[in-house]
Amino acid sequence: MLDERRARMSESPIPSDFIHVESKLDGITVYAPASRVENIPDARDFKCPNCGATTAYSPRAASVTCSNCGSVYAIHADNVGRGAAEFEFTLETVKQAETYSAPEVLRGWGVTRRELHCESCGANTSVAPTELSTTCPFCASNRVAARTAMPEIFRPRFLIPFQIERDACARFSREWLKRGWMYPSDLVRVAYNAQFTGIYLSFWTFSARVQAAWRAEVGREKTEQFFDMSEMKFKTRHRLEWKWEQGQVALPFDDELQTGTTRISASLLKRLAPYQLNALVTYEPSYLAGWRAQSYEISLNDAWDAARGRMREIARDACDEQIDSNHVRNFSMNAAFDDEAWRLLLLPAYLATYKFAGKSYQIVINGQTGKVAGDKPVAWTKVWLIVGILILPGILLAAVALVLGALHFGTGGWFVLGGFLFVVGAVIAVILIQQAMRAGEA
Amino acid sequence: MNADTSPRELDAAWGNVHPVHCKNCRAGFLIPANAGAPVCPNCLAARLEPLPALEADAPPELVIPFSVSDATLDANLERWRRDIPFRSPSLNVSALRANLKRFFIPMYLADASAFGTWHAQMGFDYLVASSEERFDGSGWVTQRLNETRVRWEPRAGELTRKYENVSAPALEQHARMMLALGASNWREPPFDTSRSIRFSADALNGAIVRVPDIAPNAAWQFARAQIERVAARECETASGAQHHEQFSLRAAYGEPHWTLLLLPMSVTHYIGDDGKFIPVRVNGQSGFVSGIKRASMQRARNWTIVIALVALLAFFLTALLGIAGALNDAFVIPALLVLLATFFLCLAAPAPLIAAWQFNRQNAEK
Repeated sequence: MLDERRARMSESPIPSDFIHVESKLDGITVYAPASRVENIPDARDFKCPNCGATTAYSPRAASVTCSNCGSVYAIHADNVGRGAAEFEFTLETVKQAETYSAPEVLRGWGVTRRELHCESCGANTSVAPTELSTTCPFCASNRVAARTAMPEIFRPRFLIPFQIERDACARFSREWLKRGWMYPSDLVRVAYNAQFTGIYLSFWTFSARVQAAWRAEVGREKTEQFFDMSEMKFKTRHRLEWKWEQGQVALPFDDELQTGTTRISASLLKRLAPYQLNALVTYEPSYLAGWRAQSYEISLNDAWDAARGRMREIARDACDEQIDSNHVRNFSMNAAFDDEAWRLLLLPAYLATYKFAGKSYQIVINGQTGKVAGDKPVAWTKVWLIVGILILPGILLAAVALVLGALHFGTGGWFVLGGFLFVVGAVIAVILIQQAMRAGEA
Repeated sequence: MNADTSPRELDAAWGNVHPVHCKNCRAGFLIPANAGAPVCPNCLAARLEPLPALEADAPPELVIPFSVSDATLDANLERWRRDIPFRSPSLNVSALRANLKRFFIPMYLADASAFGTWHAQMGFDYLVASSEERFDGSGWVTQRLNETRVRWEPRAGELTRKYENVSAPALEQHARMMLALGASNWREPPFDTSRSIRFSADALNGAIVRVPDIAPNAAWQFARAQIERVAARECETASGAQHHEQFSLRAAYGEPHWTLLLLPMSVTHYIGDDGKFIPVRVNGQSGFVSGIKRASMQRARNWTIVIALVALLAFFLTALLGIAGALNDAFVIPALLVLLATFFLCLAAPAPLIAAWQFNRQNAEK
């Protein structure tokens, strides 16, 4: 009887996608879902199945195209947008991030360089572990490495594809170079020849909830009346009344971008923002075909330290805003982080370097929005000329008035006017100089 | 349990007991032949009346003996009654001890083997790194924290296990009784069954025995549910998980075996304002005491009357001092002081009644 029932019971199967795993108790077997391993080859060559020529991702077609025969190959990736999966800071993740945070490991020095084999011509190209794609120097074939020398968890899983054509870069950069009067006149002509390279740069995004609690002594001005015995009358005086106050702030942070590369200055990359993360798609090597891509050089832990530092400062500002007085002392606060999560993204950018007067300047263009950021040389002769024009009239007028005054002409009014013009000119000149200094970095 | 035992063997096994029952609560008992007609230890509302036939024909196999010392019992009773305000005169330790009656209540222990498949969501604990930042004017101090979170994953498997001594109720009132005897969950009896001994008539030591009112067949559903709960925990262990939910087991059960176990319990009572017995139950193994705690409204009322009378006297005294104060100023201040005392006494007078009413309301039987 029991055997019959046993037979009947055994008809209820374990789900077919489950695999046998270790059991820690006799008499009980355990099955778990087979882990979904993404079937991404270590490296992939991009050749046109139609004509055998090299194919590359085209922003215009949003597909892989063959420049030889014009074939277009659609890319099958999911548009996940801001809903792209985020990862927790598990102890295992943090430990792996620590292991792979040494600069020599991140830059590929001290570890074996990866060799990418070209299927087209058979050449082996040695690349740094952080390079995700390469073009064969012998036959110009495009090859994309889906995996880096980093652990699986730090493999890029999402990216924003290039939406700006390489041809448009010259126009964007020319417009940007033309902007402003304090730059050399021949800057556009010299920089026009700059060659733009499309590259996917690594960025980390961080999300967290911050609960901040502050406590401080806040001084409030009180007006009170008192009787002045010496003058025998009531007077008014102001005094600060200090009281301990406290408050709380809850701040959600969502998708805070933090650069993962050290090759371009953080301030330059910051000026490239914003990237529209709604356009995030799942990682697909085809998007990298014909484009350079670089894995991260700033480790997760270091990037998170920087992002966390920014978040806590924002939280401190929010706490400050709650205090409606300028008199604050003994301020202290606690910021508790919760629901921390991270992602590794590849975001598109065009890079170019041009030389002017023997010095190199960098231009970066957001590959999604076309926003330009970079360095421009300042024509200081132009700036000083304008400064001179601004302050000279005041000086001259004052000087003339002084001389005429010495000859007993009544020119006191003119002297005052000259002084006034000088002050106004000087103020405007200082502003202009500051603008010029900033423009040198903009 | 062996159902093939002859009547003579049964009599010998049970000893000199005869069956009785309570007409009020319908509970059946076996009492020693010389016990007379005691009050029903279950409801304390009627005397037990003889029955013509023995309902529980097979004697139990195991019994947990009474093991609470007198000192522990006294201490537990004292602790239990201590917070009751305006206690009834019968609510003292010596009276409770004098009214104490020992009896045994039955419970089944089931053994069965199970074979089947299971499915569940298993929860695995894992640690995530978090932090708390502190700013104290001189700069930020970061404190690293590790938080435990649970990752839920589906698991399935097959189970071939034998389960022994799974508890199942033998009384309709089992759940209520287990909770009254100190169980936090009625499915886990508050008794250490490993300290049970083989049943013999001597083990009863003159105590009354409650007869089961649930047959083993009817108790099987409870035993099976209990087996499934144990199996769920075992599957959780087998999976290396720390939590489980949505556990389902499709199993066939074989080789069932039932054991009847007697659990020790005492009941005593105190008398309420209405003259009725209010039961107090004691776990015969652990000494845990439970029962409805009731303040005596009669005593509270007496206190209220006393305070009110004192207030009345104080009022008259105020009046006298007031009249005297009209004649002589020296009496004015004492008059005012006594008036103040009268006022507070008037306020305090209903306090005993309110306190007793509030206590009884909070401790009313659910």
